[in-house]
Amino acid sequence: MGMRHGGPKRDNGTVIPARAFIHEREFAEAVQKVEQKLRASGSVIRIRHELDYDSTGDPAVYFRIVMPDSSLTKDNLLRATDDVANALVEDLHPQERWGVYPYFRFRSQSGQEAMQEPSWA
Amino acid sequence: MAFADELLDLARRIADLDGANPGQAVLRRAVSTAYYALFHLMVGEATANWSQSELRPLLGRVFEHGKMKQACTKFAGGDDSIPPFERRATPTDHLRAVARRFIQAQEQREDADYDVGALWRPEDADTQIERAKDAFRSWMAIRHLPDAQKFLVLMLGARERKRSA
Repeated sequence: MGMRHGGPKRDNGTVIPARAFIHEREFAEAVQKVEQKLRASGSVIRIRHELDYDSTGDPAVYFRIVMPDSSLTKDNLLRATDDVANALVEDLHPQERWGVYPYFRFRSQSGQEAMQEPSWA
Repeated sequence: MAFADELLDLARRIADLDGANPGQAVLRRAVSTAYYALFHLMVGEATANWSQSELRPLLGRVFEHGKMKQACTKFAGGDDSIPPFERRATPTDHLRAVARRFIQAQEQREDADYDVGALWRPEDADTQIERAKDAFRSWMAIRHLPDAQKFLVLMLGARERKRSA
């Protein structure tokens, strides 16, 4: 787990880590299950994630989602990305079960091939 | 055209500046501008309620990004999904969409402005702009309703007191 924004918000000096931070492997397995389901339906190519604190110090999960080029056309962009985000939220319950706020970024398959960014690979 | 609408329009124009192969600075400015369109939509709507118009810009300076996010978190609906615009049947659906879009946009803005290590793609900018547009549409559908007005007040950082029965 990295430190994107400088660490957790503190109340009274005590920080209780989010469940996803404590059970990182179980969280990763849960993400993988949703990824498998979404891959089988052709909605995503792959899903990567990173646990960290967001810019206001709240525990967060950052999803990096590679999608087929055909899904990310301008007409379909909002619907396709919302469908994937909704599926992740409904299946994982990141806030209620794991104590992390979900953030999403999306990239097309050809976009990732052009960028070759390791964190999306 | 209101300032927030101008910013949203500008975000689109920035994203299209370099055609099919935009540079990182262009994409980052587009993402950041899409957030500020939403930010100024909320600030503009809240301050418009102040009857002395010459004091509205000063009131607008009271808004803080972190407090606005906290207010959004209260209305964002936890792990419930956001229906597409045409299936948002209640004011709660619309307000949830606005709150969620705001939180996402704010974090993307933070990364676009400060995380120079992350690379951006045109689809990133397009997604952020489309989400901001979607939030604008939902806001316009509910802006005069009591819950929407309460949302604006809470964005100033007000805390709700729990009322006992």
